[in-house]
Amino acid sequence: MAELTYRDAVARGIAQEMRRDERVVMIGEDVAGAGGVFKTTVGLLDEFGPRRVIDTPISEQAILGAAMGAAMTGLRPVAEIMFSDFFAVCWDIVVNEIAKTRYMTGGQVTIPLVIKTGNGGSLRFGAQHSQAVENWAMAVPGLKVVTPSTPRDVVGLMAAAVRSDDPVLFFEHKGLYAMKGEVPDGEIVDELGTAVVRRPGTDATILSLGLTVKRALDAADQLAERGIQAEVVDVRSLVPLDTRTILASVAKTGRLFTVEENPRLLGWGAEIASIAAEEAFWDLDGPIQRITTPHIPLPAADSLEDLVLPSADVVATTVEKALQS
Amino acid sequence: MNIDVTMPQLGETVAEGTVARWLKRVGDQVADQEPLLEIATDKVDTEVPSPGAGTLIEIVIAEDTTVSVGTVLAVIGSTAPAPVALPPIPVAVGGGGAAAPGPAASRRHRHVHSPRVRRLAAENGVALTLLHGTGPGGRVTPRDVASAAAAHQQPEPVAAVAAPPVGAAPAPTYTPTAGERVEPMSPLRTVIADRMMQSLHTSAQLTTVVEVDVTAVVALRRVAAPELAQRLGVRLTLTAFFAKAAVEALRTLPLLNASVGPDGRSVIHHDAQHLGVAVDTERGLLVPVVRDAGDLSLLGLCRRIEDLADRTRTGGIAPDELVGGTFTLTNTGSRGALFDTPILVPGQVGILGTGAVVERPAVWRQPDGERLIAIRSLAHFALTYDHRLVDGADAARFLTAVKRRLEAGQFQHELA
Repeated sequence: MAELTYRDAVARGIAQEMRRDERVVMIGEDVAGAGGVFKTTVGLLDEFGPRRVIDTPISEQAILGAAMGAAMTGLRPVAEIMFSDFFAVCWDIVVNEIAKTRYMTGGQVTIPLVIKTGNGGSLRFGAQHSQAVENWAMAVPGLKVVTPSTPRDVVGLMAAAVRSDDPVLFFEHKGLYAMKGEVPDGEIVDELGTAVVRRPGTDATILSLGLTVKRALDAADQLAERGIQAEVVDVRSLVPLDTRTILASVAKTGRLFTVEENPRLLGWGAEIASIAAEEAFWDLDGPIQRITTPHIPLPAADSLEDLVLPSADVVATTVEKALQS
Repeated sequence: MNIDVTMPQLGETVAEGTVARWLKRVGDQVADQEPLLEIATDKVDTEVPSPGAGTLIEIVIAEDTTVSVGTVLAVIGSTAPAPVALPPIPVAVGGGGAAAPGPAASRRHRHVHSPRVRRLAAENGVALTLLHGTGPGGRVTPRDVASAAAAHQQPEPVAAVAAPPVGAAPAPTYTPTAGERVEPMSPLRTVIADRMMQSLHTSAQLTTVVEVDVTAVVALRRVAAPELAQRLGVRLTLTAFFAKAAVEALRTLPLLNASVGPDGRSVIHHDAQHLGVAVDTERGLLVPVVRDAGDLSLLGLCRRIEDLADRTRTGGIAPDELVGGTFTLTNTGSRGALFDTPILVPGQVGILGTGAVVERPAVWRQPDGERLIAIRSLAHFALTYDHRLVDGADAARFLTAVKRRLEAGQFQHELA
């Protein structure tokens, strides 16, 4: 058992898979010599050499075009898009090529590709480098979408992503890179499409993802002091989505809250709220409530960014108020 | 712009209403505030005015259908220009103004049952309309339903009063043979039927009867009535005397004024005596409630009962005036019956039925102790009580208190 930072866990997960399977390669801007701008690929160049850990020019289209071609021809690449905001400049390759190829070739060509990316806010990077865009990916059939919230999950879900024969968008949360957590020794392989109950409770279900998991847990602590036992679920994987765990929790508590970093309109919780309204209607003891960032470009100022991202206080207050009305 | 017509909240405690009759058809023009439909709630019928002018473009809820308060009943297509539709969610436009609050808060109705509560009630055969909600604002919580289900353990679910069960089989229908005719019960009849069965299913009822010599109050009334009618415009009734005696007895024996908690394991004590008075109407039996009857004088009771009874018969009674009773008085003698065994109003543990006052030869003890046979006015008083909470001795004590009060006939100071 070792205590690792979230950023070190990324490198550990990739290294674990590169050792296991020599078809796994790492490609992206500054991922080799610099060890990644967020230091998530430190040590990979030293261990695996420049043929398997490859720096690229500043061109997201080139990175993904090369990675897709490599995946089509027998490798299992891990490509990095440094800031998830930059998916916007290479979205055509992701949506129209990577996501569609298996289907448009009648299953003859698969794309075993992981695209890892630094996602989300809370670091004062401003509106163009802070977006949480996992909901964009969730809207595209043919992609798997995963967002780990702990160092251990980073390793296990990275391994599961690399072993998937279909493309996976792996959203690392930039605000969590410095977080530390226990990671067991030895190989760790998790399962895509599984949510985890982080804290059991009976009175309300709080769904969280990435940055908001810790905030939801802090809110649950506050609520417990006020006599409300909230169950906190870490959704982890948006596609596939673990509706079994989510709906079982709703069946138990009767109340559903989502805590989303996405801007309000069509954040990931909107889809889950829709599923719950359809499939768990007779379990609900009150309206489903979504706690989200407002529908605005994220501000860079400290005070404003803290104000708009869902905080533990806002989650606790919202849940308490809802349960008392 | 379309306007939704919703089931109105006709009083604090009314959770559901039945669409009795549509007064307009789809396509009809309606004026603002023009009567649109009739609804029947727990025992009251009323008209619902149109919330705006326009064309009735859709009837959502058919006649004889019961729905929760706030349910959309119909849609009026307004002639007013449509406003720009905005998503009802916090959206900052352009420079990022303040987020607009959603409509959720204003649409929240305090007494709507949640889907979970409705499902649990249907599964457990619990009548939601009879539950005391312990949630915020009196809302019925899933826990309340579970407690009620555990407490009642009814052999037959009273599903008719509960919310429509999920996927429940339709009730058996009867095919009439020659010379028979089948018609649905009126909404009021349905309520009465369900309430009566609910009462008998959920409490341990039995009836104790005493004979009361009411000669003194009959005489008192005969003397005082004409003068009171002329001086104060009050029609002094025997029922007022009976109500006064009953309320006084409730104050000394508050157990008869209590309720059994929804869990069947607790006692709810009521500080005030809210006296239900059964009133026979053309549509069926209704029980308006004299609130704080314990604070009223004989004449006060008399006026209030007469006012409530008149308005109940003419349809001018508000739903709130038909609920909240803690004890009930029913004059079973008004049509000549000597006595019957009244059925408790659900939630109460006592109901006093007063039988016909008849003159009979009886053994009467004079003040000097000598006994003789005399013509006396006698009445049977029958008390039905819930044996879960009230024992026979308590019932007898209550009836004896009422009997002594009426036989003593000391009401002169009330009539001065």
